[in-house]
Amino acid sequence: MDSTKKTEVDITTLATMQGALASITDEMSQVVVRTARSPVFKLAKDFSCTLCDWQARQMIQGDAELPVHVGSIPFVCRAVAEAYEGDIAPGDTFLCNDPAFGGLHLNDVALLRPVFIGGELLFWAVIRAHWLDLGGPSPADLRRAQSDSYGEGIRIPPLKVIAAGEPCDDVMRLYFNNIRFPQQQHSDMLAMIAAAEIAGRRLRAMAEKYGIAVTRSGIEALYDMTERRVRKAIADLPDGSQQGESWLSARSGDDHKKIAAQVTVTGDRMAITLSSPEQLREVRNSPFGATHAAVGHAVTIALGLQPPFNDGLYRALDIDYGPLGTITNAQVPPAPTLGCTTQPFCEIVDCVRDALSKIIPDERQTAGWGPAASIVLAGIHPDTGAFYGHFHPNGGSSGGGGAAYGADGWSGVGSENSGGAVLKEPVELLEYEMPFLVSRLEYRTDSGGAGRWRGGLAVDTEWEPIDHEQTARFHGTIDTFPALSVQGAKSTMLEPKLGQRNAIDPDGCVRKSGGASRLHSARGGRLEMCPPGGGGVGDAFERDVDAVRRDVINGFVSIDGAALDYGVVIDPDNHAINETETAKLRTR
Amino acid sequence: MSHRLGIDIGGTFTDFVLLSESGDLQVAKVSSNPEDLASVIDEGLGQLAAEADLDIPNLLQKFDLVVHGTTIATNALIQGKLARTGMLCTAGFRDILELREGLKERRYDYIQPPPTPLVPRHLRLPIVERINKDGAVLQPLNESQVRAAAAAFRAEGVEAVAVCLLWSIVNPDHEERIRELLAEEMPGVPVYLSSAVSPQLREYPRFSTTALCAALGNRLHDYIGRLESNLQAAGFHKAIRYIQCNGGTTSAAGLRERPVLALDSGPAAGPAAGRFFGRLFDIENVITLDMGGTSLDVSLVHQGQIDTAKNVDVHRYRVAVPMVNVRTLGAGGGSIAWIDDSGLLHVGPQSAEAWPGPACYGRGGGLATVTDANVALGYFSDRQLLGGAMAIDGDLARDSIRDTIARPLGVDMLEAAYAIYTLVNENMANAVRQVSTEQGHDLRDFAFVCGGGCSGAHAARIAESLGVERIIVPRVASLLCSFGAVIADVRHDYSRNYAAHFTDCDAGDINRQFDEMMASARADLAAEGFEPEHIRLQRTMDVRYLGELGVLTLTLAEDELFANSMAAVETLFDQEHERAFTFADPDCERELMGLGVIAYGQREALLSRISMPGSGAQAPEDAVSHSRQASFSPEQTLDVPVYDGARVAFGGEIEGPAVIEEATTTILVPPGWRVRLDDSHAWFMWRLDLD
Repeated sequence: MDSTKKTEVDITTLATMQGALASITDEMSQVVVRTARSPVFKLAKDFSCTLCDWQARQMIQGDAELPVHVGSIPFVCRAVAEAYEGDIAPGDTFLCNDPAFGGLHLNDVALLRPVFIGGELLFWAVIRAHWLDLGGPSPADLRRAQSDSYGEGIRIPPLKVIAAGEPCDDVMRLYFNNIRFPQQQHSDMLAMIAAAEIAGRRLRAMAEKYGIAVTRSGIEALYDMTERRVRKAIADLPDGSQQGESWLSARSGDDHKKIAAQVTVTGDRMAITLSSPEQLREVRNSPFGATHAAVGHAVTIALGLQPPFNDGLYRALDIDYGPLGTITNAQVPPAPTLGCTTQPFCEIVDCVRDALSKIIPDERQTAGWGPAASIVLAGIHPDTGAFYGHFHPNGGSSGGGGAAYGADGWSGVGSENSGGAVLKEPVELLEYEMPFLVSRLEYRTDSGGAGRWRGGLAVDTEWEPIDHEQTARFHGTIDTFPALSVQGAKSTMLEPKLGQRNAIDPDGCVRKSGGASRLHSARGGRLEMCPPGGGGVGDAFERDVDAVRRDVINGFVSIDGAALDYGVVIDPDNHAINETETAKLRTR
Repeated sequence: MSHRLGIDIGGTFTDFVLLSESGDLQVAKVSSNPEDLASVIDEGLGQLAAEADLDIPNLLQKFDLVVHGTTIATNALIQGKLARTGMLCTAGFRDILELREGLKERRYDYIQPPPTPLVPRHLRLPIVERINKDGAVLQPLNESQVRAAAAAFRAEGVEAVAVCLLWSIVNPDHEERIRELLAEEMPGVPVYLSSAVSPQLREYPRFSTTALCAALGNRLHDYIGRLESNLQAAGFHKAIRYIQCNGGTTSAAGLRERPVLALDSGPAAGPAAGRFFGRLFDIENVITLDMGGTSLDVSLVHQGQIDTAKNVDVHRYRVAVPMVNVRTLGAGGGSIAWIDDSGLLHVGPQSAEAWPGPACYGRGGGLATVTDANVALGYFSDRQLLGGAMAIDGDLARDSIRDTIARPLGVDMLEAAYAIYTLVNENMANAVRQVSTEQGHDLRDFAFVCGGGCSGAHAARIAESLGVERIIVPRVASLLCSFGAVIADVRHDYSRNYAAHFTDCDAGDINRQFDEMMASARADLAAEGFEPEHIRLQRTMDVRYLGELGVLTLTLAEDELFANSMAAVETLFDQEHERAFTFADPDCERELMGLGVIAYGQREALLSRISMPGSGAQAPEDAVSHSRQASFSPEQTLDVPVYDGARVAFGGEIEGPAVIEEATTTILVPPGWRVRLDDSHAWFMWRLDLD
């Protein structure tokens, strides 16, 4: 496997090539974030940039990207390369969002551009981004639970949309005729093309500098090096096999779906086998691309690996998504997959994490993040009479991050599919652009999962439509299971750790969404989103008493929470610790 | 124009730069001691006075202006030595400061904590009030709540307060009323209003900037007080100015109003120096590379305009005032080379620091650094550096590279040394790209200006990698920023929130807003003693296509009027957008997001040359001190002449390969480059194939 010598690429070239790849994807991201137009794209940074090689293998997966996006790009790239084999020219641009070819939910559209050097297709620049609307029966994404994929909008197989620099107007007309915000999305596409264009220039400069042969060998060597790094980390684990599980909660009743993972370590290889029930007739199904990304993410975290990654990451892993037609290997068509980037993405990460927690050393333990809670606010704009839809992947408010051994979880960073990459909208910018007020946005006390290291807090948000009625749509279930806690971490005060969505009527009456996928706010009423908090790590009764006291002073934990979850009794007047009562509680 | 003294206090050294009316430059460097400012100033002034054959009071008589740069604010932030700060927020929004943009910087690092909030949550108190985007009061200010909060702050020993309300930028009444109430309740405690500190839409950057002002203010004011009284005690009673993060200078009052301006002010003066040296050679586009022991600072000047950015994170805290766009990279002479667990070579960001320093210093630092690679390749002397002030052991450099890099990678020492050198150059080239090509600039139009002790050995190679064709290495390189501070213009920024679609813009109203800002700017600079002919104003407009996240800041000339339409601005914006991002979208509505005025009190333009004590008289060929083996690739080792730069007469030209040793820097002239010593004590280097 030692191809460093075989390929004769010197150490300088390898190191500088790695630096160049990282620098190129950074530059692509910069261009997209500054020029994209639709809110989800620009405010939420719901896009990722990457580069693939002549065999559609991924050359770089950087720190800035969304784990769910980048983990499955090579499948899409390969599908495009195969579909258009012999018919790919400089200046071509392709789109693809089809889950059957490695796509996620339909809104995540990949734009791919081949990069030619000396007449040879050497690279692909790829940007995958969440597009606001893909058509379908109800507007602006996250529509009512669909029973099949046809209701979710336009499914784009590998498709050439620009041929040698000339837009394929017929194809584009067909597409833009079928979506709701053509101008905005056309502008977003310009941003993606600009990023691909810049990547092309720099990749050409890189290949010209080193020569094609050395460039190829260098890229291969970088894969080998990553593979060695991964294999070494796996080899350091004891051989054996462990099971993990997580639950996809039922919308109503208790027919929860169990997602299970069997993780087996043999020498320097790791096998991950998933099993789950038959795919659902609603949106929480995961096509193989999303499942692949979820498993990859869980493994990287458990192995303590830091980016950049590349194709070499997956060479030491055998991933079995489970039988086609199950939740973790959904067949599209007919399965709808709108939920896949959040639910069951997080559940898949957690079942693998649960299994790995029984294998990896203490100091590498991590807990689950607050399950995802995307939301769309929609209505008729009172000034213009036009329909508006506002989507945010974290529901505007964000769940808590999971704790890690040695560190409390981050608060308000969303769910793990984005790994904290998703930006929060500035309240003022939102109010400037949208016909509603944000009436509250703050931490929810006691929402962080109890543990020796506490889970991150969730952020509650309230919206108040101005002079009109508003509808909130969402798909995930957030009010049944708390985020996964590990190493004996457990919350006694469970309710605040869970999420909920409410409509608050003008008379103050609160209506909970329960398992429904929409809530309607009356004129003068408000909508409230309360995502779940992150999971904890380690026995909460071993948490440092002063840390608990600080949490109480800052309102992260209540007086009652301190006693119930942490066994620490604190005087509400002066915040002094009652040593005797605390000792009593803690020696349970 | 007057005689000026620059005092620049850095972490290790304090630089003194004395610049006369006619451009005579005298410098001194003494060890910093933050505990005893007076003795540091005494020592530096003593050195300068001795060289001029004067006593300190007589020396002080000679100049009219002291320009001061300090790391006090940056250090206070890094070390958490901040005022105990309270914050009053719109009820329901007390966590904005801590949530930041909701971003976790490192996706795969589950251990790194978020930055400690500048104000802990229990000191961020909610106040019931609400203003909407049109400035209408939806909920009146609850004044008794403000008084109760003040009581809580008093009980907690709060030393400064930040007032951060939503939409205060369109209606500051509530923030201003809170200031009145706090003045009654907590007299003497400084209060900063978000609407005054950073009047721009988007609450987090504004609140963060306001909190920084409150947290840094007290310490900065104490420091300024001590400095000024020390200088007065020494006999100086004239003007003192401070270098700010926007690259210009201001008075103590300016810093008092917005202490955040003192953040990262050290490297901010680099571009002013870069612009000055560029202009000596009729070059208006320069990139300064300031490479010291631990890091590289890169900044850019385009058409004489210092590049600034408005929403920058300083040590993970957001600053929303214009700051010089300085890209800092952990790449300096002391940066350590290491191999990761996949076998890939890296350089930095860890540094051997000043102590123990590179392996070749012989102080027990056995790790291979960039300086060791320079020694092993023959670019640096393997006996001494800094004009003999630092003894070097070349064997230690070669051993460290052999042991820590070459053997583990299975290559020979020279190949490893060359790899370290080349990799750090490529890292630096990527940092240059971030401030230049990634902003749409064409590097062929730019020259490098080198600062710091190390960049002279790397600049030519970085230039080759990027297509840069001209390099300037001033003799004052190791004090580039201190020199920049004494020549920097006074700069004041004025800004207003103004959000409107172009189609709804009222050109008359916009011009009125500009006129008001420009009138204040002229009055402020006149009060500081600037004649009208030395005042230069620029208008800026923040513009985006409808809905874009980023804005482009367009700079318009002072006299550019809009008549009754925004058509000219539309065209300018489309052009800038295409330059920066490869495309324009002319069919899309454009949106104005803010107005600003930049006011300069000009100093720099008044100086046309500099001279320094001691200039050589020899033809280059007579200034060769010795020759040594230098490697330009693992396969190409040449016998290279080493010139004693101090002996070379003005106008002397040297062709590469050559090494020029100056007192505080070493210049590598690779094959294919030529260099000439200019009479302003700067080496000008250019690519031979472009002759």
